[in-house]
Amino acid sequence: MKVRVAHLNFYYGDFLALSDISMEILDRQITALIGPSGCGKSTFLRCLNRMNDTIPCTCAEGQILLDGVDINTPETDVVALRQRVGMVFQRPNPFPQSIFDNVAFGPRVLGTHRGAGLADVVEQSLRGAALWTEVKDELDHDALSLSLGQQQRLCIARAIAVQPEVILMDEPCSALDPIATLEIEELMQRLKENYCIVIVTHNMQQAARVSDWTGFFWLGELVEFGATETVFTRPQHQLTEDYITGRAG
Amino acid sequence: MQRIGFVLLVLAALVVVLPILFVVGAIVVRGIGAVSWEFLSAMPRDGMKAGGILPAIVGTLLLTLGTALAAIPVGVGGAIYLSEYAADIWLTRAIRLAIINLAGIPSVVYGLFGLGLFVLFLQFGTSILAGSLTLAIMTLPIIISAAEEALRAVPTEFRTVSTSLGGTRWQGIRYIVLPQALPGIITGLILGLLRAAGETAPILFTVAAFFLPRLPHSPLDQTMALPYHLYVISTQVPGMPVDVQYGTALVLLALVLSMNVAATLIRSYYRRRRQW
Repeated sequence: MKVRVAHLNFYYGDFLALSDISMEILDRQITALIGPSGCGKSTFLRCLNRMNDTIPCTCAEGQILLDGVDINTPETDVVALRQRVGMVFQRPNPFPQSIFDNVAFGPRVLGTHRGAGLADVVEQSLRGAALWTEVKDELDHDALSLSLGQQQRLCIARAIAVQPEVILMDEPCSALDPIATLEIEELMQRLKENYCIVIVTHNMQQAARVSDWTGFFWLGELVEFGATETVFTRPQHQLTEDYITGRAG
Repeated sequence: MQRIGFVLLVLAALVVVLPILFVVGAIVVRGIGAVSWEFLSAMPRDGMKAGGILPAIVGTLLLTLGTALAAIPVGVGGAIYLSEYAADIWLTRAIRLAIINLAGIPSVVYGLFGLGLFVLFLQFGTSILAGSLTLAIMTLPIIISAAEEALRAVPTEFRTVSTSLGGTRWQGIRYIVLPQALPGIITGLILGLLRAAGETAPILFTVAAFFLPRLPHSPLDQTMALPYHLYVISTQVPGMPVDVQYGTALVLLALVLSMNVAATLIRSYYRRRRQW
């Protein structure tokens, strides 16, 4: 088990956005979080790398154990945490720099690699994100000249260049066309051999296709969590069944 | 109707542009005869009626350099603090408002302030140091507000991504935000420094010498400066040849304009590399 969340409550000011969430996330598996807009799934995702810390007047109570160590404490080194728990965002958001510089950002900032070592990390990361063959001759080109799908894979390469253990994906395909979506989904299948992946998605077919585990959020509560096959074929709760069959949400 | 509006707009544009063209044209036509290598490279002679204006040119360049050295780090640093670190509370907003208001204070007030603080209280005397610091204080509001605006125009998303990659806040600023904001910051620097280079009142009491036909040796020396020299030879010296006056104005204009062009080139170079 990679991450264990126990009795997590999350507040935006007085508003309780997540209520008593407990979940176990396994390593080298894909865990999908589904639910209607505003149900708290993205908020939950951002608790796992403490990105909510950047929003004022928020507060998270409860335990989030990463490899058995609680990371939801004031003493946690959040910079080091985010190196272990990377993130890919909804909209492809490469820096307006060259392809190389984008991927090299993390290693450069962390000072982990220089010179030839840095070039190796960039190549490995781009290979890892299934982008290397497409861009290997144009590493000095502007990242924004790539297609959206390529940009999103570049963002994934940028995230894995930091050599994280967990990758959080917040609706990574919602800005992409079906073919680019398929490429990202295939990439996720390869990535899960090395990483623990948590993905938030609005697309239930996507959750069913790619994930091993699925959690269904509704109004800030985790209604159902289990193996994807079970959740989609024999849901334990009426609400889950209504949602995945399109009668609720 | 549309035609009338169009004509009015063209007229308005002409009202703005024509006087500038006229002023610049008059200065060039009447001044170009006085500008020679000697004029640019020699000391003034015969009660400044002959010879050159080298000490005034050097003085203005040194003052601009001194202003840049003092104002750029403080101004950009202050802008980074206000834009990236300061909490959005009433104090920050009050400071921001004060900075904007400072940009509107008449320059002679800065001159008197510099006289009081640097020349007398800190005992720098009338010197390049005191003059540069006075000009720097006058320039700071322009630099800070332009730089802060440029920094705030960089999408928040880039900061978020940098954070998510395990970068500290400073690393995000250093490697992503600052390079993106650079064209805007440079614009502010140009505007501020050009104003400093052309101002007379702030240097009147703090550094400028009426007549000092030698180059300064240390930051504590007085120096001549082009704007003040122009003021002196235009109003204080009887029988001054008109072409020397226009020649001096032309040199000041050319200096400011060439700095402007150089900085604009730098800015457009950086801007071409930015695409959001």
